[in-house]
Amino acid sequence: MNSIVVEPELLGRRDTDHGRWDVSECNPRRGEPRTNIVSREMVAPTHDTVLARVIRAHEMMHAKVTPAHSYPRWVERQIATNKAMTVVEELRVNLLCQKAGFDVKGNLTDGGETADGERITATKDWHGAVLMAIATAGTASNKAFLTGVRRHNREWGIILADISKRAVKEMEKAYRTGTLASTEVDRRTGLAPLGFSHVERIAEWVDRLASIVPEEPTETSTETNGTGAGAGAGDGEGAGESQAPRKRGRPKKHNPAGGHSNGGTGDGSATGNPYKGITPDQYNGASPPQWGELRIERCAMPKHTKGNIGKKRIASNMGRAPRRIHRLLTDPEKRIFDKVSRGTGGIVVIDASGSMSFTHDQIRQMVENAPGATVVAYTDRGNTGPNMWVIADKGKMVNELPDVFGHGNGVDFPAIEWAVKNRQSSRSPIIWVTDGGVCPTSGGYSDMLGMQCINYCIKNNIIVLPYVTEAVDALKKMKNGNKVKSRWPYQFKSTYKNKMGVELS
Amino acid sequence: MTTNQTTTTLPECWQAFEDCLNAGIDRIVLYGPSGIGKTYAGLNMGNVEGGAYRLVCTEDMTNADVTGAFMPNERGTFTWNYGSAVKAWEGNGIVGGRLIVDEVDKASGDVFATLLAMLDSPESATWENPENGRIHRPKNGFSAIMTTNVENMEELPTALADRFPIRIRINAPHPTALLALSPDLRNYAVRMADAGERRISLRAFMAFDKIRKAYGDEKAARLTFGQRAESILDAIAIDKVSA
Repeated sequence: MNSIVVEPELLGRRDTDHGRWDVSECNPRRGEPRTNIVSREMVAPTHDTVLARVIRAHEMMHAKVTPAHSYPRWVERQIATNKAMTVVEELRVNLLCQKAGFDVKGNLTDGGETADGERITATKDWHGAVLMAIATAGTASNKAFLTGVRRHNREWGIILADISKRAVKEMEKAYRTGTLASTEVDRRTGLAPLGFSHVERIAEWVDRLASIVPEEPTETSTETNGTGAGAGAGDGEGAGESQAPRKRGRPKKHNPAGGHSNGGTGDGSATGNPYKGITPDQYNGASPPQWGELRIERCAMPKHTKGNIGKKRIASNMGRAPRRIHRLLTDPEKRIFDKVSRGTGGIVVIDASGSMSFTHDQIRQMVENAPGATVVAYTDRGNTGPNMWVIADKGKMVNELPDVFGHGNGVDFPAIEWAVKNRQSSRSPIIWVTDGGVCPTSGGYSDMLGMQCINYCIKNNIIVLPYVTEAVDALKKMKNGNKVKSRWPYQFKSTYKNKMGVELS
Repeated sequence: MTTNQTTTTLPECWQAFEDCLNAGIDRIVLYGPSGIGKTYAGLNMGNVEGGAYRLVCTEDMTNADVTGAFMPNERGTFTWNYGSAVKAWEGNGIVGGRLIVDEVDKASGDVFATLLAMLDSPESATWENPENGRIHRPKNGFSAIMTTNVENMEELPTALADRFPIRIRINAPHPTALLALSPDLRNYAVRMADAGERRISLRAFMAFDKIRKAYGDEKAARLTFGQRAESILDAIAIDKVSA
């Protein structure tokens, strides 16, 4: 039998240097072929079969378009998770192979996908099911996988078929832009390869889909579905791929961060599939929206505020030196000692863009209510100079607010990320005062970046409030030991509803 | 980053060669994969006003090719025919020419010793013509370019290495040579020129180019690349997904 080796040296890219590859052979089985673009190593089957040829093309396409050294930068952006980007990249590579004339639709399968589908569904791994459906979308594997899913859960099968189909459609749409396979370096953001921005965008959508677990059908709906299933039984295995899902339960938030519950049905529930309302973000061209680089300036803070810096003494019945001896007569619990309780500190991040306003007095009130807190304000000031200012910290604050605010946003996410990384302790609260109009360094509001901020706030328990006055009230409440909840700005609520199909609460 | 430079800018290796010639370096070793244009460059690049003379070294080669030999003439006697090295020394009679020594690693010990003498510095290099006893010295402007496919320059004999302090690895075909190829194949020829064990020479691409014009890609690939035809055509199809 002829042995056919791959020729990765023939491939050219604009984002990496060309060089020799280390090629070795393997069997045409899932898990064995692989490509490492950074170290230029490729393991691919050399068999003279149709399947081996398609696998070779798949690996070669990875070598052609998949990010190399710059991949960590895509992950660090935190727009989409690493796993989601990995599976969407599989989808992109398969679609590009199809476009290059390789029959992935008819051949790319190793026969184990049906079992995978059964296993994933039996273990109720919705997240894994969505990722697998996306990774196999547009190939022969997808049909086999969905067959396995349907054997255990017809509802999931229908939804996943619909998701797979939409993912392929979305990728086709990206292909028509002519930039899907681009390996150029994005001049504006420095990200490469440019074609991967489509992957990131779609992966962000996949993350959203994977975070919403379909509810178990109720008895009534099971009966309804049972009828539906019977009616559709004659359609064959692949029939579900093009069908609209039957009546089913509302989506349930997977809730990776905990504590955040899903409010209601999405827009798409009217059509019978709540996932229909969850759509990928769109932006002009292939250039992805990008946050600016955070540059912090610590302002001079000569003004001392009232109170201490978050320490307070409270009565205790244990101690060494009695300082509240009068309590011996008045306090039934005889709390005559002092116990020092440290404040939890906290960070208040203020969006100081043109659409927001706050006064020096409000900052003073904040610091008085939370003396140990740090208050920072940010606004985009172009490519040079600081764009975030520390205006109060540890009981001190600025005499006057710097006359720099009122410009764009640009660094919303880096600012709250900084707050999370710099909070005094994991219990320290973070309040983010914003109207929700988050914008990248250039361009207007981006739903994708908005979702990134929302998810980050949920994950890290950041309290989001639309006005500085509310932040002052919140700090007062917290001072008195009360809990404070986010009051999401309208823009975030709207984005979340559009993107997740449910209310943000 | 190297993708489109062949038609626009000079690759780094060729630029280095050109810079050395411009700086007046007259002893250069060009090494690297075969079929990439080293000899062509040696014969044509820089100032070759005094003429360029080529020596292709083989095990069977004798000193006659280097310095010269008596050969029978029409009068029934013998006349001395100069070898390439002496011709290059003399150049056009005013300035010295250039000697291009191909595959120097393949020269026999005898020839190698003669070459060392001929390639010595101008002050030490002399040769006496056995026909008339005239002493020859390299004329001003004499230069020597040595080419070899040996990748490890440490393998060069010390005496030779000492005479050729500048060694440039040529890993890309010269843009001028690429012009003979159809535009869509030029980048592939550049990438495969230094692809190690899977390298494909510029000449192979030229042959492929010619055949495909008459018989199409598949037949041309089969005839030129043999068993590798399918994978090469597949790779080209994949590469074409993005410009």
